[in-house]
Amino acid sequence: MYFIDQYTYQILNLYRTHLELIDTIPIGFTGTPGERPSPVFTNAISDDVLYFGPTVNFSNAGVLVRIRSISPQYDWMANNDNPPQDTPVNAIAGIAGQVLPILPLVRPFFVQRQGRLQFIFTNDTVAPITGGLWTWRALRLTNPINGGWSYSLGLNYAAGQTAQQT
Amino acid sequence: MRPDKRRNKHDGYWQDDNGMMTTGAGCDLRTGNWAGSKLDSGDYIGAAWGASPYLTPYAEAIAANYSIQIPWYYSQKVSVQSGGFNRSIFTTRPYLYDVLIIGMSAKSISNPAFTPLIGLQIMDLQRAIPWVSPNTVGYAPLGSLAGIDLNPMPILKLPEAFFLPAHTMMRIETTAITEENVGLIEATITFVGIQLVNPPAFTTPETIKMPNGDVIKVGSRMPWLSTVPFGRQEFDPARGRMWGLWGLIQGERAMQFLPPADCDVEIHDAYSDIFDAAVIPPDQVQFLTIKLTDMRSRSDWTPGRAPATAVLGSERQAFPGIPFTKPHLLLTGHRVAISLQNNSITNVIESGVLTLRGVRLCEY
Repeated sequence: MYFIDQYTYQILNLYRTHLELIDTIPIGFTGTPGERPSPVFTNAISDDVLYFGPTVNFSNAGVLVRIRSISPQYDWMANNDNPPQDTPVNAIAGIAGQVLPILPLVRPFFVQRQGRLQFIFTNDTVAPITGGLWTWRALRLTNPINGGWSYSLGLNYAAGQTAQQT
Repeated sequence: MRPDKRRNKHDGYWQDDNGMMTTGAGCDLRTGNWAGSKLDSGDYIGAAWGASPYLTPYAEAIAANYSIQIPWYYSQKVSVQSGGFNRSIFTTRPYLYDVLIIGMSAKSISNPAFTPLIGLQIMDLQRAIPWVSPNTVGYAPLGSLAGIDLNPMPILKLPEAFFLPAHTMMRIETTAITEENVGLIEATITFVGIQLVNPPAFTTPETIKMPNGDVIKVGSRMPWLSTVPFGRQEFDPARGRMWGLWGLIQGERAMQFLPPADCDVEIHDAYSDIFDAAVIPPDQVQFLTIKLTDMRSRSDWTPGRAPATAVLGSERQAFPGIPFTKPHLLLTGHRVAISLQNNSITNVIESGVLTLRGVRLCEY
């Protein structure tokens, strides 16, 4: 399901301990068609986190989502039409009851401690749901080495360091 | 330093005096800390057949010693009588060559709805190390070991290839993981692997070198499964405490612990039978929640309870065991705590179990 690529290994190598993290966030739909509740966020974790893949506990691909990382501030969804076309939830998250209930990101996303991801959900206009839980499968990175990974470090960071030393 | 793992620094790697295993799940076995190398089970995480290389680095290193490698299948019909703690045992016939068992498959003979309720305990008779850790349940549901029928995943890869030495029998114990009497449950199970043909004068390798440089014994990595009830053992006023009568009534919460492992264990993924309608109606599964914690770390894995569907897989999914994001190293003697809650307001969960799958790291 997941593939640990070189980029991910470089991040992992800057931490002594990696713990499984399963973060569940209530969406708060009230069952109103097309409703757009206030944005919800991942829990602020006291350690750096690598997010691997999300899942939702309902079976409704008519729900839309827009994701941003608050720190660093990146917008994941590129469509900026007016009004913007948000992304159907089944393009990002696995759906409970399907054969692949967790959908891995193409590459894990790194967030420094206390950092958060923001989600703006839109309920289905035809068959709206009530409640809704969004869950991330992630790795919590503890005991950092030299301060751990930073947003400014990129692929081949370690190779660059070696070149500087030589 | 743990007294049972004395190590020397050698060629940049920590090794035992006799050059034995040093890492598991990419972590140093002395400290449990990340060793900064590679994952011992490979960079692909997940047991779906064909979604990752069939051979793990360990299996690849063993197979590399043999010049002739042929596909190998071993099929066996199993029959278990439900409605009580009925067990049956059979042994496989010893085989001429060494074998690497990579995965398992199963085909229903009786009603397919009950096939996942077959529980298995497997060992080879040379070493007699059980695949399933002995605890409350002590058997692994068939769905945690094998792909079943025409589900999305017809073959399930074992967490680690199992090296079956030539001329060695396997002992397979079966039972029904339910208290309900649904009659005789029958299926054909198939082990899928590679036979390693050894020419005359060839001797089976005793050790192999892992990609990170560790030298480990052949046979020191083997499948590990641990099954606990989803809930607790219930009391039936008429029948007492029966085998398989595990449950959780509406709104109830229970704690389960894996038994302290007698070896280091890499935990890879998690399976459960809660997706079977006989356990709880499908529309109520979303109300089951779970929280996992490694008692060593004192750091919860989940800030809150997660829906069980986000943590546990089933034979109906592409990954019958939903993988952890990275294999987790459970050090010798440590335990995993599993907190379970049934938030359904209408349904009891009955005969539900969950199985953690992984790799046992032992020297013997």
